[in-house]
Amino acid sequence: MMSIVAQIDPLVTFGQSLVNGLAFGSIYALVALGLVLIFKSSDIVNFANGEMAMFSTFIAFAFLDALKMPYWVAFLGALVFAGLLGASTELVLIRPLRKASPLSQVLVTIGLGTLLTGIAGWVWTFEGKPFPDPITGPPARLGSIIIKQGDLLRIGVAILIAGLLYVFFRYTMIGIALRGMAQNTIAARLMGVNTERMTTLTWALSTMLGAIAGMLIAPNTFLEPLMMADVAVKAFAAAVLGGFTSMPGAVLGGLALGVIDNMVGTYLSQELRSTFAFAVIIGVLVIKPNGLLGTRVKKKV
Amino acid sequence: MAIFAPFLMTLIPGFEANNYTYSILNFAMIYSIVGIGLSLLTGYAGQISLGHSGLMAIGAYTAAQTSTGFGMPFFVSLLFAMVFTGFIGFLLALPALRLSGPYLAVATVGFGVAVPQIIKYLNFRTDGIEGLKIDKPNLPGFSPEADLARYYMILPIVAIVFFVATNLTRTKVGRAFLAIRETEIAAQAMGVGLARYKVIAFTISAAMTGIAGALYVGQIGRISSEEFNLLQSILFLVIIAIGGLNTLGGAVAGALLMTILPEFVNRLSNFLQESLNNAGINVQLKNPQYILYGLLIILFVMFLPEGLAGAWQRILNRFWPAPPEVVVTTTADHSLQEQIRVENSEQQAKPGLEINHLTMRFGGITAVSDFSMTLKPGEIVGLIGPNGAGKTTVFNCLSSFYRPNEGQLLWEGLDITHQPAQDKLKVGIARTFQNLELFKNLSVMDNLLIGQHPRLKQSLWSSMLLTPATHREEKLARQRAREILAFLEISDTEKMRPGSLPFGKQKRVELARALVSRPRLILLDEPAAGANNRETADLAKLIRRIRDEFGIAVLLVEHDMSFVMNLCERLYVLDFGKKIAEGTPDKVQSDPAVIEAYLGEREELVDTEEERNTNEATTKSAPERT
Repeated sequence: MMSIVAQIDPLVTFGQSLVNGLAFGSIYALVALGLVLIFKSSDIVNFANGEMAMFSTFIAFAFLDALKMPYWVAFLGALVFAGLLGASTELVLIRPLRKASPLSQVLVTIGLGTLLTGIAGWVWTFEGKPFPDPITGPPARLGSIIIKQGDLLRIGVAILIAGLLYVFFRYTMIGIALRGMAQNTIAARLMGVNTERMTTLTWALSTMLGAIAGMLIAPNTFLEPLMMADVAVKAFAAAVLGGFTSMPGAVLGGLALGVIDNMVGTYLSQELRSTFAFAVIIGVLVIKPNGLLGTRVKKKV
Repeated sequence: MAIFAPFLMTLIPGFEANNYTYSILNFAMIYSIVGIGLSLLTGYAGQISLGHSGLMAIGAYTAAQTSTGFGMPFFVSLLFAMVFTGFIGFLLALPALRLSGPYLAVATVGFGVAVPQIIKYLNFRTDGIEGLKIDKPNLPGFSPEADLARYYMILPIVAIVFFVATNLTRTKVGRAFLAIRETEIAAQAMGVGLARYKVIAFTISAAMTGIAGALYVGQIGRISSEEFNLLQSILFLVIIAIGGLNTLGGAVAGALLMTILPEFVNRLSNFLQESLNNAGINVQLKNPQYILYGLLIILFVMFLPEGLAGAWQRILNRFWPAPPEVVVTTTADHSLQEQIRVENSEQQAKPGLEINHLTMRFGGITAVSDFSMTLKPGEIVGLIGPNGAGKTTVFNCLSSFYRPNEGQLLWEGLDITHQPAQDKLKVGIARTFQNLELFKNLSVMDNLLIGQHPRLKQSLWSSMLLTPATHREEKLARQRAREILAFLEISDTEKMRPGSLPFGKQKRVELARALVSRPRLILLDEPAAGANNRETADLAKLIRRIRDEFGIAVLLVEHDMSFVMNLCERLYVLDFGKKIAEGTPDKVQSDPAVIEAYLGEREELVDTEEERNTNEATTKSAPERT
């Protein structure tokens, strides 16, 4: 592995690694955004995020494969399903446990994720299935660096969505209401914000983000029930890296983690990629326990 | 109790005593050891770990390498595995000290993911696809394949682990774990070293998991790094969740269930798959464990959160209700008070509290500016001022929850400005909190026992073995607690949880907890908040008694003017972080600066009979929450 790298222009290797890293990092960023969204509104970490994304992608697959629908129909169908899945999860599993211990809340999402994996394996088996890239065509070139059309799409979509979310939260009534709710639920209620409906909405939104991420990564990894497992863990780590309370942090963390992960794989060792990635994260956390851009909520004594 | 279950299972009629069933029981016992370790860390100390599969792997590979690789007898390998894995747990604890909640969970996930990768990378004598092989341990007279031999080896080990863990939960260490889980702030104020006990929890939990890992590889005979994955860490969490989060017996029950059930479900799903296939329906029912684990977690968390142990407890209570215990109400033991007063009078010679030029800034806001005051031993001094004047900030600086920007805090001649929060109780400073920081889910007695934490001399080892000295110390601690409860007239609350008590009693419990450690200075943060006139008068009497009978100095922060004026010997008045007046209540009442600061409320400062009659419109200022 190392000898091949030495023969190619090191700048090209670096650039290629960077591009690949950004592409994967965009996926992490999308999933991480979903995680942070839920954490900011429900104060819970949704450990089932990856599996919900995986399942929605399988629904898209069902549209494509069983129902023979065109891509855009499958895409929308998956989004609708994701929204419903997220909303119903919040209503059925999360809301009743609002007063329970944090560990119980964490466990129920872990349970859901495991269950979804099992159902997907049952319906579609554990074998990988091919999933199409929405854009096909010759890859772009930047000098000797190859940028696949799919990668451009991934990065582009991540930036687009991050931008849309930014505008949404900054300038729309619902977005501002959500931010207020995350800061002070009681005050938001007093201002007439239907916090319960808003919470359901964030879960739906978060799952839809995950679905998009799933459909963007499936072409690379083959669609199978454990597809999102690695991504979910890395996205989780990315969200933590960025500071769990910060959405720009989630994007930053996702992209950074993608690049670090890829760089480690290229220059150090393929087998120890995750290890090094986590070592970096733990290192960051030790120096900044709330992530790069996170803030600690101080409790008034 | 549940610990006897693995043994009792062999006595159930219909139990086929063959290799297969014994191997199931062996696995159940191995997983219950992990469960016990994880229960101590996550159930008791509240530190979520999603990386215990990594610890299990370390234990397994250490044992395999030392026994087959270096040719040591299995028992020695077991000890090696325990010590080495415990050491890794110690290392894992260090970054974990700074993390909590999702951040801690991610760090443990990272650990769990990294360990198998590192093991694979190090290429451990992997013999092809089958992975690392080890000679299975066995007892003389048994064949190496006889799982019964290992059953006899594992059973006493489980019993020992359970014994040690139970001893821990019944003493100072176990309570410290619970305190940390409940509220770190109060735990620190009680002198519980957060770092120390988190490290202990991680280390012990890891050591136990290391034992389990060694036994695991001994049971199977071969391992490969892929087995130790996130799903296994999840399985461990499931075990303690369905067993009942902080019960050790529950961990054993959960492990039993999670070993036996998948076997059952596997057979069931194979049977189903065959029948469906025969009926022409081609369905794959591979890997049913995902659906099984998922359903179990969800069902238990939603409908049976206290787990099997909790349900069992409820069944017991229904059919064999415990007779109501007669709580002996002792009137305050004069010998104890005398002992305390002698201790306190010996301290009278020391200087009291001295605050010099304290300044505390938060960003652009100066909460306290150049504040100085003194308090002599045995004095009752009040710190008053309008909302946001900085009174609680002064307290929090004294407790070291804030680090002052400038100034010096001296107590009994000792500079306590930068002293860690958990050492305050050791030098005799106790406090209560404005918003109550009780351990709501522990009993009142447990709250008071934690309150004595720094005074208990038990070491970690004597805790684990529950030595007679430890036992005696526990009894003495309980006696001290009962006497304080009697003094405060809340003996009947001993076994109850503060969460279920009325607010006034909760305040007394917090006061009791502060008193039980025999402090020489007590910081009371708005003790009269939420109390009516009658309760306030009783409280004033109580505080005077505390000072008179125990010799404790009192510094209190309060809004209720009549309470403060009647009780305190001296007052300091803060406004916008600065001291604007000091002196006796009379002097402070007539100070124009003070009156101006309290503009509109000056009726409350006057407390004579005629004034009360003429000012019918006077309303007692409601305690305002800052």
